[in-house]
Amino acid sequence: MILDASNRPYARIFLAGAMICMGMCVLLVTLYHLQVGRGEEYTSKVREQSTRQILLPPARGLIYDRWGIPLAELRPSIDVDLYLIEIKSEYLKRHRKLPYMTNQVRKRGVLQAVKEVDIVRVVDEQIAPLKQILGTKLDYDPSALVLHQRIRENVPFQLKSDLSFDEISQLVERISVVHGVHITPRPVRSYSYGATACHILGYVGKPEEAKVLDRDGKKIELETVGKDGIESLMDDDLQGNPGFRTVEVNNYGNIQRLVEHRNPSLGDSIYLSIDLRVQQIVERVMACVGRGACVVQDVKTGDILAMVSVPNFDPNTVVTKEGWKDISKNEAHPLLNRALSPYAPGSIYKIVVALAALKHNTVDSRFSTSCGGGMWIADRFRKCWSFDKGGCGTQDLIGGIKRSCNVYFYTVGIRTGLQHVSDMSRDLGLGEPQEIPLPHPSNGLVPSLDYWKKTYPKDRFSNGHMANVSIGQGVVAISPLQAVNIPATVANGGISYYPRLIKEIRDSDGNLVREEPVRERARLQVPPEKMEWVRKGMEAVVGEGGTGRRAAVEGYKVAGKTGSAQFPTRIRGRQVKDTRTWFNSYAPADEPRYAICMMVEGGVSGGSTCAPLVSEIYTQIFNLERSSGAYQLAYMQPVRGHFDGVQEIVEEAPNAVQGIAVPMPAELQNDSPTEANDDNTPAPAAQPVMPVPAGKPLPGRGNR
Amino acid sequence: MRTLIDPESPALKKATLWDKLMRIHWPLYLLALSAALIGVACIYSATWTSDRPEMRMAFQRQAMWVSIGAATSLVISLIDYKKLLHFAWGYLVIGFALLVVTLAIGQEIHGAKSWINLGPMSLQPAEFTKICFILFLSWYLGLRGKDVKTFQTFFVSCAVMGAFMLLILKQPDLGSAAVFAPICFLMMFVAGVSKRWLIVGLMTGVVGFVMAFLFVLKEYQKLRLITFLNPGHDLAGAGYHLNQSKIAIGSGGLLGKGYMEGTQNMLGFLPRDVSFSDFIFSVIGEEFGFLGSGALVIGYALLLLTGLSIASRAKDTEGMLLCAGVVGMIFAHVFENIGMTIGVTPITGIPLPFISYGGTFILACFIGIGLMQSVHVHRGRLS
Repeated sequence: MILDASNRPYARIFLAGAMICMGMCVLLVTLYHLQVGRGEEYTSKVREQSTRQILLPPARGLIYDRWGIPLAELRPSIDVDLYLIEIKSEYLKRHRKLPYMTNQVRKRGVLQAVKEVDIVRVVDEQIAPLKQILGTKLDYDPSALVLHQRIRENVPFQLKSDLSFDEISQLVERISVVHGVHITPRPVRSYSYGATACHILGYVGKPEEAKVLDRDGKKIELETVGKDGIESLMDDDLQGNPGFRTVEVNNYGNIQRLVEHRNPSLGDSIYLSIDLRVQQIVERVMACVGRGACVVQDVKTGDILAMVSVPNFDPNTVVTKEGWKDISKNEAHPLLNRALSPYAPGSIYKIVVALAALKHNTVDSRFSTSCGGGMWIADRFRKCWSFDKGGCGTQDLIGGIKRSCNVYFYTVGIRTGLQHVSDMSRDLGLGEPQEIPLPHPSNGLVPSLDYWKKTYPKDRFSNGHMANVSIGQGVVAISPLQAVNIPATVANGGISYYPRLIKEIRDSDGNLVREEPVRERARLQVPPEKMEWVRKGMEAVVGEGGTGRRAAVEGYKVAGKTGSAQFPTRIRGRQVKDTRTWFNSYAPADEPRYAICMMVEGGVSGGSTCAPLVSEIYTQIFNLERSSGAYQLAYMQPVRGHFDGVQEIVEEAPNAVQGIAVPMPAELQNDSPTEANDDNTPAPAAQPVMPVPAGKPLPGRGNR
Repeated sequence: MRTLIDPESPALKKATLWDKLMRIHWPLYLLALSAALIGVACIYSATWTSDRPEMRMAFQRQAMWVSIGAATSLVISLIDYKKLLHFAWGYLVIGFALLVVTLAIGQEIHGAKSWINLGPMSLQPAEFTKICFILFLSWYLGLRGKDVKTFQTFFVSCAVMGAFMLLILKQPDLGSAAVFAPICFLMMFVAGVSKRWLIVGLMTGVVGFVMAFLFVLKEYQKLRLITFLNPGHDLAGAGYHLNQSKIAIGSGGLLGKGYMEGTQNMLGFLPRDVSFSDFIFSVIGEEFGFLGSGALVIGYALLLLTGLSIASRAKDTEGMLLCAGVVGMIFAHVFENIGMTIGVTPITGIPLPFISYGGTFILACFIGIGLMQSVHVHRGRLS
């Protein structure tokens, strides 16, 4: 058949060709758009779905004492880790959709309904084959898992820690077919000496909210954070960099090859000023105390050699479910670091008054008062503690300190004035920021004139108020750490140092990262010969007839000052007088090296409760010096604390009348409560506040 | 106007085998052959990491089929298509018979009864029926001559097409069935069927499709269409193939990741059971980038335009329609197959001509090329 011109086949073929070209152009344009236009986007999608990052947990830096004995170490734990994102995508593949549930979540204090993946259901299904092997050993806390998903989905969830070798070998076979579950060795914190220095060290746990560390411009999502003490405040230094393994996976999630491997690193290590031997000496002595604190300071540098607070806790177990329950049930608040909590100082504050008076020449060595058991101040009779014994008699400065005569210090305090006393307090760091890298409740309080005017605008600061301040009562509150600086400064001739807890920070190779220098806070500018009077007075306290004579150590001269302040409070529903007893001291008196401040709650008096214990501590420290440093270190069990009187460990029976250092003003002796009745003095010494622990720890998920 | 000669003329009959060989459109043949060889290479790349040995050997079987196809194509080139068209009714009968037999004794793979098992190999008869249909329709439309514009011509063409489609839909193989429509449409258009009827046909097609969607299509087919219209829907399920294919092709970028370097395919995100057949283009796009995949599209365009140019120079309507039919078939497959991998068309199980794994279709494509060559060889005076 011949082609017919009227049929115009050429035109139609041409049209057909045009249609084909159009079709091909559509394909070309789409291809260009896909490959060249959005190539990057799809490339990242490929990376996203075909690579997995397995985190290699970093190791926290170690914490050493001043001689390099590790207090906080690391030990390996073999853990089962869940990678939630991977597990969810597996679930999605199997079921086409994820189960959701609505949870009430507190956001900025407001409860909100939030739709979340029902992660417990997803995980339970995924680990079912593993549960067949290990059974209930793989039980976990569902609420911890839900929280984990909410705040740090990107870091693995530790399903089980500390696998045994048996468990590992049982799991290893099956785990390769269960995607998103890995066995990971993880260096975990271990405190080699148990409760030793627990308030200094703190402990570690899971962060309550997503915590990200910015290091060299890289964001690191943290798995474990320090929760208290040095662990918490120096967390950024202690954190190591996590490593990772980037692996290529196929569509089933099976690992095909290693793409990149970076080893995790060890964080910086911290060298404390603490001397572990001294710390344990103090801890052993303090173990008999229900509640209290003791600080040992090097008088020449301000180094804290020991800092103990009882009751205490074992940082290895505090974040476990049982450990936390135990601690939160304990009414003595073991987590509270009493060494940093302010209390009414009582008579130990008289040294500050004396120093202020000497600096400003309001008294001299000949100045003396006559105490008949009390004196009249602004129409009120104020008793001395010796009221029942007929008074202290005529006392000069040394005698006033030795006998802790209230009348003497009422007089000196009023002569010197609040401003000079508060200035002296400031130089000694009392009522000032504590400048120590530990969390602490407050700075304490020493009133100044400005403070008084601001706080009590209608109440003129009277001599009555000043009398109260002069004997360390009323609003005055200082922590044992602040208090120890008083004898330390007297001992070294008037240089007030900042307390130093951290000596230096070194990286994992031992290179020095940062050195914390010895820092002077102030010089007291009390002439040496006058300072000598105070020292004489403090030595006399421990001497014959002094209030603190039971602090004496054979072969060494100890100088000190007793103190006690009653604190009316309710314990277990009973109204009681909870006496805070103090002993503030330094030794050896002729060549001072150590200053020790001890505070015991629920004691009888500074002289009878604290002085013997301090004596015991000094004896052991000096034994240590003589025996070239050998000391048997031990794993310390936590001290549970109690509200009973202190167990007496001294040879003499306690004699309350003899030993009592500072009674309350007369009114208080008879009727409780309180200082508040007296001279309209406002609020009593700051009540130690239980630090609100940073939320409930994730029970059972702790780094043990 | 070129000189047209009587096909029965002694001049042509006397043409030697050598004369005919010299008249073969070698560029077209080489285009097809090189596409097929690229296909073998890409099938290797798509399957070499597979853990199933028979998958890893797929490229060898494909190479065998390509050799068979290339040879068949040459043989057909040398046979006068007029002689082939003598048996036009025979093709229709064979075509229907193949489909009926398939429905009767066919093997079900992936839910479609599309295969006939012949001992060592399986055939997909539906692919051959496309050639049968083209041969028959060329003959029929040529026979109609000036009556081609009438409704009767249109109706008969559509009826034959519909019969084929229904039998294939019964398997069910929506993609292969649908391919008949563009083939038929292009052939009728080139033959000169009245535009009125063509438009009616298109509208009937659309209405038919909607009816089919509502009453005939299986659930998975509906899902594919929904996915096409809404690609983000259910990425782990129905949208998985399209999503992964787009990721593969898109991540190829301009230059591609290199031969045998396509991770989407190697890691199995591109499902292994289709990456060497229906989704081979995703592998090409990923490994050779826009330059490679664009070149392939242009290669197909060249092949198709060459086919149309042969059609325009055919010595008679049958020859012209034969070429148009083959062009229509290849175009439909290319457009639908590449289109579905990049989200331009809905996903159907349609192979990419010359490249996708599949012996029957390779053979069918090469037969198509042979037919076009035959038209070219026998276009006019030989000496």
